[in-house]
Amino acid sequence: MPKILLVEDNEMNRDMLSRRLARNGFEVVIAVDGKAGVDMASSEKPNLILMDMSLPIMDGWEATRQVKANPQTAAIPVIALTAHAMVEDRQKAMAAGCNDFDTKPIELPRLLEKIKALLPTGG
Amino acid sequence: MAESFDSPRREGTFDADWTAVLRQHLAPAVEALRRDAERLVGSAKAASADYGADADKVRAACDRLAALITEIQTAPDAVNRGKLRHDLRTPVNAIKGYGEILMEDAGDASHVALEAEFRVFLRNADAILARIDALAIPPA
Repeated sequence: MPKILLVEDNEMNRDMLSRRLARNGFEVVIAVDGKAGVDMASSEKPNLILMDMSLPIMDGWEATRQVKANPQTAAIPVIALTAHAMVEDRQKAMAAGCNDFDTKPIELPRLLEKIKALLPTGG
Repeated sequence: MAESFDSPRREGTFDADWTAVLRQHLAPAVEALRRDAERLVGSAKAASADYGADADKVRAACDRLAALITEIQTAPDAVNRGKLRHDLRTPVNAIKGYGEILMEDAGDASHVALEAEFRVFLRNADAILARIDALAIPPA
């Protein structure tokens, strides 16, 4: 079962998305701030990271940069999640090293397609 | 003006009276959604006690959105316009997220009528989201 690390500080967003991902066959581990997200990327070795960009302690852009700078976690695909649907937000996320970008409210079929496109074959 | 790559934004000048647009177009739609949420909570709880917690969250998010709309209309100059679109989208996020969970649960349990009600409700939530995205809020 593929493992997704969900880095999200909002409790309702965590609850909604983790339940729907689990229903679709994913194991979900959770971090509630950017620093914990970086740490759990190393400790949990997820197959993919869903990274909220507006996070406490360390924001999602910096957390992504650190994940991508660490040889142990650099290969983990990261999808940025944000409520800000501007072109420059996407560009900023990609510049930080994100592999893809999605906006809230989450359209689950769209997000699942992006997840499946980034997971290794058979994952 | 920056463009949203998800929803087209009106080009050109910002609407000088964006609060009138909010009052005339967004507020009535949000109030209708809030009334629908109230009714759906009753339908969901009647179908299964398991739906109660999520249904209450949908209703609470509708109430928050309606309260925010009222707050904006009451004191538009006090609003943080830089965060406004984010603040309006946040309760819609909860409405859609928990609404979709309930719709899926109802479908899995063959509560066909309830599933259909939620499908309509979620389409209306999508329409409100589109109106929020189209709202031409002047920069702070």
